[in-house]
Amino acid sequence: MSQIIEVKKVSKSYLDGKRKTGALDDVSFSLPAGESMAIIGPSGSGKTTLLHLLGGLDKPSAGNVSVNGQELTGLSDKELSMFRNQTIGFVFQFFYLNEYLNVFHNIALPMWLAGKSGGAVDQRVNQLIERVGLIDRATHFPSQLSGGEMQRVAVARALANEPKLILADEPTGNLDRDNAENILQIFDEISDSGVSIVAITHDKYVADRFDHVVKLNKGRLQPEAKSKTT
Amino acid sequence: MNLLRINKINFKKLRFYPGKSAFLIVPISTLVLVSVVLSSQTSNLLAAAEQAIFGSAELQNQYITLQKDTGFSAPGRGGAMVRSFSIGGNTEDTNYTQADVDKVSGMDNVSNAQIISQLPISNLKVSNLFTDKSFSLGSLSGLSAELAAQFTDQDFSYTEGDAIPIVINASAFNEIYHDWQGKTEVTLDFRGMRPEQNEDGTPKVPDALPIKNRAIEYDKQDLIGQEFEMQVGGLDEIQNYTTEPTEAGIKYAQLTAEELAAKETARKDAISPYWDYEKIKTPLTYKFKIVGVIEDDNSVSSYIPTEFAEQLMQEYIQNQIDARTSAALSADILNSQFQGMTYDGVELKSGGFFAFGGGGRAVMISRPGGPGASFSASDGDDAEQYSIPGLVVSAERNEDNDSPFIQAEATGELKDADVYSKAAKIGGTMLVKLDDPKNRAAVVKALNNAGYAYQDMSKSDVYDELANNLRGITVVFTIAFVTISIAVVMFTMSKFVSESKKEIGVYRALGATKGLILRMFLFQAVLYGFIAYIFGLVTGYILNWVVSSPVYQWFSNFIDRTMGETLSVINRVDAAVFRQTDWQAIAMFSALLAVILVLIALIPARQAANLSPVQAIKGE
Repeated sequence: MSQIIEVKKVSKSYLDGKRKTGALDDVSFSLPAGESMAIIGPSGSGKTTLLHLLGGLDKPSAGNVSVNGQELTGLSDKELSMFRNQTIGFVFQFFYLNEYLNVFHNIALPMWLAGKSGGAVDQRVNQLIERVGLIDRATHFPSQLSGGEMQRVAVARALANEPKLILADEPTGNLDRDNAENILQIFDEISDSGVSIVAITHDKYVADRFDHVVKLNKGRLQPEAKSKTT
Repeated sequence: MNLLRINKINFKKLRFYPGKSAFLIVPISTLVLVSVVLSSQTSNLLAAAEQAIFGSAELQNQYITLQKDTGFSAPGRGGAMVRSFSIGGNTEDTNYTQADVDKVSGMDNVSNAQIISQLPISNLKVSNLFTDKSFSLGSLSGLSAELAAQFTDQDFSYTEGDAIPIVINASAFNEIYHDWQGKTEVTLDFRGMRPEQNEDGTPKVPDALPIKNRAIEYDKQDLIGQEFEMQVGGLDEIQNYTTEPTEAGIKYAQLTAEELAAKETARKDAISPYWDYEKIKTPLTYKFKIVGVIEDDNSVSSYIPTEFAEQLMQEYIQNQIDARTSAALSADILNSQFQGMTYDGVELKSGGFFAFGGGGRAVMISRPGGPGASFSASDGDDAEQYSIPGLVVSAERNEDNDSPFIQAEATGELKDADVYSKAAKIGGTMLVKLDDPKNRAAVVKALNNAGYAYQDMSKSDVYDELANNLRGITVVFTIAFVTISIAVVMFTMSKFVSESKKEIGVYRALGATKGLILRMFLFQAVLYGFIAYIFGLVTGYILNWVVSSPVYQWFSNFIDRTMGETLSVINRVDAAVFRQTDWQAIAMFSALLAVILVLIALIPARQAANLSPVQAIKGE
């Protein structure tokens, strides 16, 4: 399987009271495994919706979404949950860490959700903590961390179960230049290790760091503006 | 994720959000605390009530009071008419005799029987028990300690030198006072006068009557333990008014100071030849200690230990004998001028009291009676008759005479201080003690079969009322418990869920299933509820100990108020009863709480689980 993502004629619309509003309209694309993609576009263009569909958080009104060879549309809640836990890693703009868990436990959470515990978990978490450079922050709580540090924890968390695909919604949107760069470097490393990444961003500079850039406008996908790999 | 992990996470949440958690924990633990204390104390109260009420009833069940209905009434407390026992009547219709005592004592399951026989002493005056109020005991009887146990839980034995224990009858707490309304003469006209009645049916005192009485207020608990002095015997105070029958009624006239002085002199002159006037005039004084108070419409007698009664009579008679001069007392004089007790070889009787009727109201007036005395409304026509305390007059026994007003002729004076001990004790009341309260029904039956009419009463009304009240409280509280805990769980868990939407979304994004979300919130409620429960249980247990004292106090007062009226001896309950915890009720409340926690928390937990992850993440 060479495509990590295959999206075929996907549409998504919402019922806003009695009105049907469309978020996505007949979107189709694919992403080769191991490559990264940035989605850009104005707000309300459906970027987040697309990301959610890729992560199985939502189901399309029409069309198919296939990730890692798995057709998502027909999966049960349990199967989707397992899919997200094992295959996907989410990174959000506002970090979304659990404030009542410390750094270590935040990162461990996806593993606990997978039913793992004990030494294996400790080992992996410590590994990740080291990888994102937060060794001396392991027992701190999110309230004691800076924005950049929090996002690094979020990335470590996303990597916990060795996912195939990272889905990031404006990963640097809340960070200053230096911290953003930090994260992008980590993303580069992730990409180098063979993990695919799809990130939403409005920042051109960030988008340039990715292999592919696609643009969404009013729910429609525009032809790829640029591709590094073709 | 296993349950342990879930609860570890929930515990971390608890420590991180103490305020939010308190919203659930504090009300639940309060409910648990209250349920512990309330259920324990209600069951303690019921247990104590059973002990006190039925225990006391048990005590009372061991005693039976038999009474001959004499048809005589005498004023009791506050002037209300009280059915009295027969005083000095002759016939068996109005009295129990030794034969009856023997018969009843011999019955199965009867351990003791005694006739209440009034001591034939006039003048039993008490002036230092109530401040500025004096009263007289209308009737004093000897009683064995065994039978006295139904009236007092204190020692009822007589020890020389100590205050004599007395079970005092509250019907004696009456003050007689004069109200002449400024006049020196009052005439009552009985023509057309109807017995007027108060609201409660007691006869109204015609305002015009110058001799009145009123009840003395007392506190039963205060009285018990108090000592007082009683003057026994001595000469009567000279009546400072005369009564004269008119055509239509009675005329009361006050005597002037001179008239009074003249009467006193006349008395002294009459008595002095035969007795040392000062000695006979001075009463004997004895010190008593109240060990019980009887408040019973069916009796008027106060009780002293039998052994002291004998001693008292002995001293009373001996005092008179010692005061005698060498002058002889003829039968004539004894039939006309001096009265005292009469001894007919069998009974020793007092001079007697007579009900003086008129206008539907009876007034007790001490009237010398004895040999030759006959009921006469007039006083002053004949020569004065003086009652001599301690005088015993021999008389012929007249078995046929069935009038209590007419006694046999005197034959001479009897100088025997021990005559009381030798005399037969008769009276209209017999106290019976059973060997075991369980046999009460059998004894009552046997008594009725033997011709002693007796009807039993039950005293479970107090218990029933208390039990109903307590059960009512329990029901109300249980309903409140269920309602409040449902509301608390529902409200706080819904709040938790609605404030955790983002968190739910993140968990879902990380791979949590709906089922896990449900379990997480469900067990959050269960964990918090459990913590609240333990806390409430421990504090409830401690608080239960703390409130045991005031509840015990309340209970004691309650029992004294409701039962102390009719029972003199109450089975005392130990304060420790109120420190007990009702584990059974607690188990019930615990189960109730557990069910409510799980069932009610399911609702918001399910809502949390069904939250769409997208909405959840967006939602914050």
